[in-house]
Amino acid sequence: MAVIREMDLADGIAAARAFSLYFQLINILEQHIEEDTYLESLQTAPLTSANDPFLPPLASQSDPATFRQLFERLRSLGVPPAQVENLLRELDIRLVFTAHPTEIVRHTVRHKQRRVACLIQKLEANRNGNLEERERNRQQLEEEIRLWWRTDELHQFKPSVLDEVDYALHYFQQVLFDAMPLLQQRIRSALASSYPDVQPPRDAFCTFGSWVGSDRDGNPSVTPEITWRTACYQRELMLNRYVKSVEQLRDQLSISMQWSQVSAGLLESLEMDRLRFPDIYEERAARYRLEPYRLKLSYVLERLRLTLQRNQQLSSAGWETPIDGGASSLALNPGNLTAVASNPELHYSSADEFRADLELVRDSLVATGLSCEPLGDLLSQVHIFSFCLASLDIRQESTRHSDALDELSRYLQLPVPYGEMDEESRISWLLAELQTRRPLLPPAARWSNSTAETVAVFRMMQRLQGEFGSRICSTYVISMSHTVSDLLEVLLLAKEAGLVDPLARRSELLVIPLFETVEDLQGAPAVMARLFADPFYRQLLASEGDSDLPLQEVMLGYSDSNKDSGFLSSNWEIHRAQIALQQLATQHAVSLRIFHGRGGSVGRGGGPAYQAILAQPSGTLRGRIKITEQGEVLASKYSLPELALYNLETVTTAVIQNSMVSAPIDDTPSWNNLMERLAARSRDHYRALVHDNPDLVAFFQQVTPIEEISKLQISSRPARRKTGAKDLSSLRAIPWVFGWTQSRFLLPSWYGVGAALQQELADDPNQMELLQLLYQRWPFFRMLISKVEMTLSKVDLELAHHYVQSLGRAENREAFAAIFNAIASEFVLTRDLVLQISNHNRLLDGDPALQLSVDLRNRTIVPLGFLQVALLRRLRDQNRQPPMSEGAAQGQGGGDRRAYSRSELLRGALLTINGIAAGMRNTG
Amino acid sequence: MAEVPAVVGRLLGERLELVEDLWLTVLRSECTPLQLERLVRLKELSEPPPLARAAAAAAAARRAAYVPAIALRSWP
Repeated sequence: MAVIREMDLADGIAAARAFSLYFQLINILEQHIEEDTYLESLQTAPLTSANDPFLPPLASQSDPATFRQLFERLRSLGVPPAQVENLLRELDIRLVFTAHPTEIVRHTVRHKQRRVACLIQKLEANRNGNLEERERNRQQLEEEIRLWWRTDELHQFKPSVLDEVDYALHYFQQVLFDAMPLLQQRIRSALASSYPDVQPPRDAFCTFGSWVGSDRDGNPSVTPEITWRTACYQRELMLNRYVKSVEQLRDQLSISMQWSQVSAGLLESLEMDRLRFPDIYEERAARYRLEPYRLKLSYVLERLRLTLQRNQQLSSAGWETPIDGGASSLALNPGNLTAVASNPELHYSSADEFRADLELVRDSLVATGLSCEPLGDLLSQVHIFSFCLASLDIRQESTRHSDALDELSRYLQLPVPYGEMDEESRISWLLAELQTRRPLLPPAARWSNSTAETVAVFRMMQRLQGEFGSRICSTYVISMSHTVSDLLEVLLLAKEAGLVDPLARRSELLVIPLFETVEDLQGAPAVMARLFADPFYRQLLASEGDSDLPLQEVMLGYSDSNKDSGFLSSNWEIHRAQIALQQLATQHAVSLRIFHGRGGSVGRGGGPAYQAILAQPSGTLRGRIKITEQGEVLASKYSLPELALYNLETVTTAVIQNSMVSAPIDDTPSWNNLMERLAARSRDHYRALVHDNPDLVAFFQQVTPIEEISKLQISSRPARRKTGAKDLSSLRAIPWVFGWTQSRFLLPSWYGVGAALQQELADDPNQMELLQLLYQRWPFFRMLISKVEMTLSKVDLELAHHYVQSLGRAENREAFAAIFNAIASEFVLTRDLVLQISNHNRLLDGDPALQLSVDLRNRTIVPLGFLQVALLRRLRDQNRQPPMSEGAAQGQGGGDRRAYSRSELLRGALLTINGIAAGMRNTG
Repeated sequence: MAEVPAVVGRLLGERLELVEDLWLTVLRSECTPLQLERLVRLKELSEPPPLARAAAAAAAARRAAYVPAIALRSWP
């Protein structure tokens, strides 16, 4: 012990780093196990059997299924092929990457993790193989981990938005481009075995979107220029990828006309190409005279390169400068605007043209009895990624639009300024303005910076669509949507930019309200009903795919509703809103797509995606879902190829499975009434602590590392909506959950559940039987209880108490003790009741693999918690004293209370935050 | 209570051993002997044998006493 007491800050930092490294290695190990378990499940026979009477009904089967298992199961249940085919035709899964706010691990460290993961895989693959090679692998692994150890885990600078774009796109480059064609192959092969006559879904049944570089809500760094450059960058990545693939194809398709026929269509296109590209013809014709595929692909390559060249020009010129023919643009970019600008037809103006060329090649091969898998994969990639890679969703907060219109109305000297109109007057004015062709915005007027930027975003979108097609950026999400006018405001601003045509009654913009507080979720059906009933609004809704019905997308926010009213209430209100919105859409003959704004952690709607999708109200998915994939989730789901395939496959099977369940399980009145009571009681209990207790904000700020989290430099976005504000309402949901997770309370994911259940049982003790029944039969309720069970298993009240005792200030001692006791009582109550409902003796008894993982982490993470508390206490003590110079701090002896500088202590504290996040596998 | 799936148990057992061994090997080469000793000690205190609940409780108490002691004595 005497030696231990000699431990200094350097030793503490070494300990924080060592445990952080340990957890990151454990995370890699678990990812491999997930991958290998998945691969093993692909090798073995389907778990389902037509004669197995003990299988749970489809609605209750909660273990992730592969395509083979699911289709086999559907066949055994007698689901007719036509029903499967109809659903597959409608299948539309959209995963939207919002990587920026919660990714704590440096990109550099992620690279190292991937290298270590690959080396471990190599070592495992060679388990019984060559000893020499094993020793070499082992040596490489040690080297790599040693390099990692000597790499700084903390971000050296606040990432720019474009850095974040780069991080997010990394998953596409490393994994998703190649994984997607494999996903297609797996679904085709599984169908061929169970439903040989059913047509597989279209290639683009699963596509991607991104908010990185386009979500400007609360992030002033996301400007129109940044969004423009993001779009150009994505396009550049895609085009380079296609260039590489076409080069490989050209090598491969050496078919000679001496030995094979070629389709007339391909020959005709070669003739056209010869006229368009005489230089290429001159250069390549001699070489490829008898190799028409290679010649064709040479033309394709040239067009791709010209498209790339144009893209570079667009990127450099910026969104406000036209590059076709304008004298000003030539002046800005002298010398380089040559072939592309003067021969606009030579580059590909859309991915459809590129695809058409590839299809010509494929059709010719097929017509002559040949096939080419890489070409099929490339076509599949073109369908999925197009030239844009991922669609960019714009997001902005609702008040930005009303503020802009208020400023405009004051400039125009309207009798009543927009900001002073009531909701009805706003709706009338907006609808009237929307239906005139007269522009509203005077071109020469000078606006405030905020309004100028709001308006510029729409103009930039219009330019992007004009250049790259509507797929790159046609969605506009309005966060904090409350009213009908919130949507109409955006349409009006879009009309001013030429994105809405009032005469044709056509909109190039999909306007999506994001309802994210309990009150707004409850009011969402009324808002949408009013809009659907308006003939003009309805006509602006375009149809999509094969459907003739107009499409409306609505986004439901899990994060803010959870922060606002607690876990149970948030989940129930979202569930109810979905059902009500679907009923409304059906009444109005509108096709509805729900966009789920899930976070990575349970406190923000995260958790296992499979169970979450199955828990969606039956009849609301209909093969369509759009979900956010956030922060650290990207690394845990998409950093390895088979892991990505596993996640994509299980999301798809969950959507199919949910859409096949037609039993009105969510319409049982007594179940809904029970949930209604539970949600209301849980909300009251949660709000009494979180919103009404005057000491809670101080408690949160003192006993969690929230203050230090904001110094982590993990995101370009500020942690608070308003600069300088310290209140709870301005704090974003991510740091809210992050803080509670670090101090092991994990309060947002469970608080209020126990009190609600206890009150229900106090009214009628027999309700326990009903609760147990619901857990068995209702996927929604089972998902709720399972998530609570999972988060409770990660709570460590002993450690949490240490945070309160060590970090709470003396003057708050009594108030904080009361808060801690309230939380502790609620924890014990919730745990006991959850165990009773799930009929488990110990938390997670139903999922022993997860239990094992949590046990392993819970034990090993404890020292990091104690270290964090010690460092936070020293750091905060120092912060309360007058500043001292770093040099002075360095020079002082160990006996002085201020022996370490603030920056050293902060660094140590931040390292413990990193380590705990790795151990908990969650930030916020 | 359900069982840990056999494949998961096997893979976890095999690989945990590998990962812990790698971790220790690297720390051995990168930390001072004293640091290493403390790290190993801290980890051992965090890993009570799963069945020995009493021992686990005692370890938790020792750990609670141990870590603040580090913090309090060396970072007064």
